[in-house]
Parts: sequence; C-alpha cells; structure tokens
Amino acid sequence: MGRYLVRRVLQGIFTLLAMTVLVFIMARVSGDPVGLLAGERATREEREMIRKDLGLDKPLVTQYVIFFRHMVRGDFGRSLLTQQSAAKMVGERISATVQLAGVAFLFSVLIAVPLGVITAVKRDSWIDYVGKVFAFLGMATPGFWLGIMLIFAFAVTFELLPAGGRGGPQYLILPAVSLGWHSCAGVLRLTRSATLDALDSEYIKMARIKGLPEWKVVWKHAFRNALIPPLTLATVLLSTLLTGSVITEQVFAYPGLGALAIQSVNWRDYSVLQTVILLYTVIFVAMNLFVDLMYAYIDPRIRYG
Amino acid sequence: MVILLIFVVVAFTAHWTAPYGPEDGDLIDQFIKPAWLEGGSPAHIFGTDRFGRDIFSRIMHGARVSLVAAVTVIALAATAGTALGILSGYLGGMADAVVMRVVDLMMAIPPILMALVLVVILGPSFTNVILVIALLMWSRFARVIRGEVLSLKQRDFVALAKVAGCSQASIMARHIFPNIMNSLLVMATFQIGFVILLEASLSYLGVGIPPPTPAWGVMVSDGRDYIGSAWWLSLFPGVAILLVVIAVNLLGDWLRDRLDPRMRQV
Repeated sequence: MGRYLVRRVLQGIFTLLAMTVLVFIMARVSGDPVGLLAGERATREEREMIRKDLGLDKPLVTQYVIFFRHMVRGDFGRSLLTQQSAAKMVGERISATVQLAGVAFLFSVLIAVPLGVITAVKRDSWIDYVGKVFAFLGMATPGFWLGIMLIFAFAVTFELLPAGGRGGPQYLILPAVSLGWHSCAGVLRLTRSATLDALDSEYIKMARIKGLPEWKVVWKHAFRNALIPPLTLATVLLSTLLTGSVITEQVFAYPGLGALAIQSVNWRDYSVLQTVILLYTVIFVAMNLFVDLMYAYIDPRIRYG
Repeated sequence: MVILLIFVVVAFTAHWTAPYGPEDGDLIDQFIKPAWLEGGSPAHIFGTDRFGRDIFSRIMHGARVSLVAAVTVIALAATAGTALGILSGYLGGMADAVVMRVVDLMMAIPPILMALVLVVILGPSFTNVILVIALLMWSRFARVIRGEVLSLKQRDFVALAKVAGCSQASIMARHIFPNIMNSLLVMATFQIGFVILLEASLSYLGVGIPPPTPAWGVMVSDGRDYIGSAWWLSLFPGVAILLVVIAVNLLGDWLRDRLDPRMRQV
C-alpha cells in the first residue's frame, strides 16, 4: 500500500507540474502584453523598459522559474481587469461553486440511487421502462440547453424561480438540476446494474430461503452490497460536477469559479485564468487520487497491478 | 437508426434542400414565431432568429457542421489512439511507459477546461476546434486498445505468427489490428455522442466554431439572451443535438450487442 500511495502521489504532482507549464505557455503564446500596456505611440526605449520591468527580456525557462517561485509563495499575480490579486478573486468564488456542485450532487444521488434500486427490483415493469428512457435522455441532453429550457419554463413562463444570479436557496434549484441531470442518469444506470448483480447472488437466495420479507432482502442485503460501485462513481462525479459547472454557471449568470474562468478568457485576463485552471486541476487530481486510493483499499489486486 | 440516417442525409444535402442559406436573413423578418403559432409564417417552420435567419435551414446546415466535426475528430483520435495503443500494448517497456504517462496526464485534466485553454492558445476556428477535441480524445482510445492488445498478445495465434517469422510490424498490423476492429468501432460510435456534446458546449461558450457558421451550440447560445421573448431560438437546435446523440448512442448499443458482447460493462 505504501509504495502504491507514493507512486500515485508522485503521478499527481507530475500532472500538476505539467499543467503549470501549460498555463505558462498559454499566457506567453497568446499575445504580447507589452503592446497592450505601452500603447501605440511608445518609443522603442519605452517598450524595452516595460519588457525589462515585466521580466520578459529573460529566457523563457528563467521566466517560468520566476513564475513558479511566485506561485509557490501563493502569489498568482494581479488581474489586468480589476487590479485585485488573482488569488483573492478566485478565493471569493470558491464557496459559490462548491455550493452549486454540492446541491447538484445531492440531487443526482438522492434521485438516482433509490430509483436505480427500484428499477432493478421491478425489472421490465413500466417503472423500469421509465427509468431507462430517463437515463437515455439524461446521457444525451446538452446541459447548457437544459438550463436554458429550465429558465424558460420555471423563470419566464411560470415565474416560480429566479433565472440567474445568486441569493437564497431558490437560486440554486435550477442550476443544480441542470448540472446534476447528466450524472443522475449515469448513477441511475450503474445503481441498476449493480443491484441486478447483487440480487442474482447466492446470499440473496439464502436470505430468501430463510424467509426474510422482500423489503428486507432488497434494502438490507442487496442494497448494501450494490452500493459500492455507485459510491465510487459518486466521488468521481463530485469532481466532474465541480469542474463541469463552468457551463452551468455561464447559463445562469451564477457568480462561481466557472463564470470567472469564462470572463477571464473573454478579457484575456491571464493571471486569473491561470489561477482558476490550476485550482481546478488540483481539485481534479486530488479527487482522482482519493478514488484510486479507495479502490486500492477495497480491492488489493490494484495495489500490485 | 432512422433518425440518424435522416440527419446524415440532411447533413449532406442541406446545401440543395434547405429552404434558405445558413447566413441569409432579412432584418425585417427577425424573430418570426414558429409556423404553428399565431404570428408565425409558413415560410419559416421553426421561426427566425435575431437576424431574420430561418432556424430550420440553419439546423439543417448545422447538421453538416456538427457531424463532419464529430466524425473528423473521431477519425483523428481513433487513428492516433489505436496506433499508440497497439504500439504501447504490444511492445511494452519504454514505449508503454511513456505513452501511458501521457495518457494519465490527459485523463487527469477536465476536458472542457483543457479545450478552453488550447482553443485560447490557438484561436477559435473550425480546424482548431477539431484538432483540440481530437487531442483530448485520443487518450481514451489508447487506453482501451492497449488493454485489448495486452490480452490478445497472450493468444496462440500471435505466438504462431511469431514462429512463422512475421515481423513485429506485420504482427501488429495484420494479426492484432483486425482483432480489435470490433471494439474500436463500438467505442468510436459511443464517443461520437460525447464529441457532439463537447463541441456544442465549446461553441456555446464562444470558444468553439466561430459564427456565422451555423453550429448548433452557437444557435442555442444566441437564444439565451432572448429566452424571455423568443424561446424557439434555443429549443430547436437543442432538440437536434439531443436527437443526434440519442441516435448515435442507440447505434452504439446495437453495434455492441452485435459485435462485441463482452463490452457490455463498459
């Protein structure tokens, strides 16, 4: 276990480092900040001075080392747009996105898991059929389009819920549903097949022979064993939801990390964009690491693979 | 299947069959409602958008954009992924280690963000979007194909080919490759749906296929601003995306059951 752990952590760090190189290149390749800062009428000397000021006269590798040193100290530069520190701007947005992803997660798991078990137990009944259609639609619906349609239905037509922004709990409902929709379908399918597998096993036959009531067989014996695959998927989902909120936030004008990312793309505000992307990568890598370690803990074969 | 066929036919014939060109519009005709509503016009079945362009025609032209983009992406990604997957699975050793590290790296980055960064670096254009998505997709193919190759490698026919004196290249191309064809086909079909969604999302965010090209994602996104007054702008292109993805997934299910019953779990 120890060696596996070390290997996976090293891999995670490697991924993060590669990402810092990538965002660094992104910021350098996509435009010369000197031209932007100096303006049209700057003389050659003035340009050189700005270049020196920003450290752009040094070789790329040195620039990267400087960028990296600042980053380690927590200095991600300033926003071109607001002159605020990028780290602070990003920090202010985290809680909004975590909230949204959390509610979306609860929504998809609370609906999908019970529904998955029921559709498995009542296999080939009408409810199983409904579940199948729902799962199929869920996998194919573009999240941003669903969001817009929800706005149209619940905010424009019936005026029940706000169309966007952030405030009380009613502001979270529509974004969370449109964000969680896709994963809901995924969890539903997985729970159904896991429950089917569990119901097919020897210990369930045993429980039935013992004469236990059916609800006890299903919820106590089958359910507990069927829960492992959906639970591991759920952890992956949480990271997908956190990073996938980019689009949902854009649709609902929800002031989270994703909206900040898009805003900084549109304004070419690279220090903010770099920070957001690095933060997302950290979340993603950390979650994946967590899942892998959990798998390895449950299933010893992986550790030695 | 039928749906998919219709979309493919539409995609290829839109140039001649669509009632209007994708960029033709008259500002006098803007925001006409769909034909069956009051105020709608039979000349524009799904209504018109902000520039008076016919939504129905744009969806037809958009079918070509989306399908061509998705199929090109899959062709590129599947070719690169298969080649690297076979090499890495069959040769093992250093080649395997290098390819798999890169695959791990690609898998560890959220696709939508990666696409965002790359498109910003390269600048949005039809070709760049295709290249970027292909760059994101090949690793999925490489990983699955490598797994298949690892198990095929142990089989007798590979050993026999070696005894018969086949070169490594010919074993990979003539003996391994035909045996992974089926799972490759099934996987490619399922990934097409994902690519269509990803392309539409990027277009929605404004870093996909740039306007005025009629991409479905862009059309949905245009409608966002007018959702209070003109819902038909977003509804119909979204339904088109939904239908195509469902059709492709159904085709994938069907192929899987026919060709590769073992993949049922994936």
